[in-house]
Amino acid sequence: MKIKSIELKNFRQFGEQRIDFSGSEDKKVTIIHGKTHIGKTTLVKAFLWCLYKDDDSFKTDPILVNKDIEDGYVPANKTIVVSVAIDLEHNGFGYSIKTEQTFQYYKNENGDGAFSPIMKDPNRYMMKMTPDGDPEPVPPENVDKEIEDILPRNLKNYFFYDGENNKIDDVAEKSSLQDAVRNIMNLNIREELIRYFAPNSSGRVYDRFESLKQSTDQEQSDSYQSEIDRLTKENENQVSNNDGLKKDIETLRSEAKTLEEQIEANADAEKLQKQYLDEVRELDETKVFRDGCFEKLIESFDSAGGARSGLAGLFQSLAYKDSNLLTEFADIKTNSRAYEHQSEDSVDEIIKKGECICGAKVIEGNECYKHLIAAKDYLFPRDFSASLNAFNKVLVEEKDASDASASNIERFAIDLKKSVKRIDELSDSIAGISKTLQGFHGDVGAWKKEAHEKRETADTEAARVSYSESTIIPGNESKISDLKSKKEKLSAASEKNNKLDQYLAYVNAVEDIATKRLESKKTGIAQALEKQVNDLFHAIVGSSKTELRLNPKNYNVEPYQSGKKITLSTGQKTMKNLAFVGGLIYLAKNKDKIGGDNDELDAPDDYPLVMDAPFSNLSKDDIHRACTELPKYCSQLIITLLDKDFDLSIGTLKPYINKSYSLTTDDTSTNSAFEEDRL
Amino acid sequence: MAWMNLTQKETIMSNIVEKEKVVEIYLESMKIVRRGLRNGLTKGDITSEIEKEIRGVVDRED
Repeated sequence: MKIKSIELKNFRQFGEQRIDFSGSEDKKVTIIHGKTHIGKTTLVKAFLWCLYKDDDSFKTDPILVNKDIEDGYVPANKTIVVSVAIDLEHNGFGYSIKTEQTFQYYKNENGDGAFSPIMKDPNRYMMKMTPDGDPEPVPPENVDKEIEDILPRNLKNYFFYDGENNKIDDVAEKSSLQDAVRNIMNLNIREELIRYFAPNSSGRVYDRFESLKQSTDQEQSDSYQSEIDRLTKENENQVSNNDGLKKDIETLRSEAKTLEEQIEANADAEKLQKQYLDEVRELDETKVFRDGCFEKLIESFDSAGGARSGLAGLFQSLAYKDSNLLTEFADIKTNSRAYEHQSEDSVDEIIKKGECICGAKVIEGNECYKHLIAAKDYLFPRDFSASLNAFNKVLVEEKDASDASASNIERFAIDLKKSVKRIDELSDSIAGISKTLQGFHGDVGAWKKEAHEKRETADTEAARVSYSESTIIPGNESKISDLKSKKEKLSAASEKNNKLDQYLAYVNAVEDIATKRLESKKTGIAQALEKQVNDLFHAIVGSSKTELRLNPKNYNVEPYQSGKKITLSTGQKTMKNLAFVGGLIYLAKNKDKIGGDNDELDAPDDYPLVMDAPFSNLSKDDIHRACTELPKYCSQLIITLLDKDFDLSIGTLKPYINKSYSLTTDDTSTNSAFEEDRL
Repeated sequence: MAWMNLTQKETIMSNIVEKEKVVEIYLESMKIVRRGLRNGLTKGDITSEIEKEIRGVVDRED
């Protein structure tokens, strides 16, 4: 940065004034000198008011309007505009900065005839000249930023140096020094950069990448895989089991079919078997029925009483001996033929009588006798035909007498006869069937049952296969697909996280670089500043007896002699402050040479040094040495001096001076005016 | 990786990052932070710009 000119209008002591400053490399000094209260300090304040709208110095008297105008020449309702304009160069750009404030004067209401102003807030305008010289207005909201780039506000006290108040570290806050160094060397930007890359810095880069990470629970992933394996195995078992079942089903159906064909081929035998079984069952039932009829018949005899009781016993004993008798007895009512039977008793009667019914003589031992004896073997022992006849007679008679028991005897006899007949029929039929089925040992009914069971079993197993193939296996496949999808998501998250970890590795690496460079810069700055401050201090003082030790944390310097801290005189303090400012300018100009690797932030800055009465407390020799050394440090030096100090310094400074102005007033005005000296 | 000691951290980083890219990110991020501070960008805006820069440089196949 180099200040080219300043133009003041109605500002304090100044009516309309403009001065140009030296900008050449070899003659870099501009001197403004004058007596006390002529406006030297006001000129330096005008710089600050223009650049920063800094009005701290004017708080006790905020009316900036030129006194000549205010005291006598302001007409009623007149508007006075106070302005300061600075032209400067910075990084190849030209800037015109103008700050102006309007004061509107009204006649006082108290009738004293005076006028009082109402002041408006100052406005600041900036034009930026491109390297081609084209002016571009800077939007008002950007003016502060542009000025911060040119000369940061918190450096103003160092580069617009108030020598009369000698403030550098006695008045200014320690943090101000620290801020100045940090700002010149861009340490604040470096630290802010680190904050963006540091771990656990909420809402910044590290935190941002960390927050994008997704869950990649390995245990969960393994659990998914385990379940996938289990379901896959289960499906394999299902398929294997189904294959087995299908073979079983095929076998069962085949066997059932064979049985069914066998059944069909033996349909007649089945009928006969069924008939056989039915008739055997009927035979058994009929026999039971017959026995029941017989029992009841005998009971009926007993209940009839008298002679019939004996008959019953006889009948019973005979009936059990020969079933034919039952038949014959059953025929009693319809066939009397059977009553004529012969018996052993009747043969014995013939033998006893001695004459056979054929007329032959019967003598014991003769042929007739032998014939009769032999015949006995074929005859019943008794002739009970007569008895039967008598029984029948009784039966008929008693029936006529409506004897209920006789009626029962008849009925039981008929049933008995029927059942005996049926037994004979069934026995014959069963014997016939047995003969027909002789040699056939199959059981068609059992075959049918077995075929049915096989069909049923096959169908049940087919249903199991169908359920397995339509529900269990697809269900498991669906679950497997779902689990694979979940596992893939975890896997994808893992890949994404790997990428984020890669970014984080770079974030860490950048933080590492930034931290190392910051520390390197801090160390380099402290060393360079301490060296330059000491070099300049020793040069100005003309002795290296006093060592200025720099605190690397707050950049304060403290004087030591022989290892002991000492107190400096006012003049020494001034020289220390000059040395410190020189050190700051050195830092700004040599950023690229301090603290290791360079980067964008290490582009050198070239600040002017505007000093208001810097030599107020210095001796002639001190001034001489200061004037010898200070121009070496800065590219532009603008100094306001009391006339007496000007006289002391001009000799030394003359080789560096390009422009020199004398501030003067005339008798008719309180205004100050610049008058360029002839060098 | 904040929990690691310096040696572990440097060993791992030297294996997985390219130093040229690290320096490039560092320098570009510095510009972003400087411009962001100058123009009054929010922390979120600056973070987004740096994040974009990191992704761009790291993912770039040289």
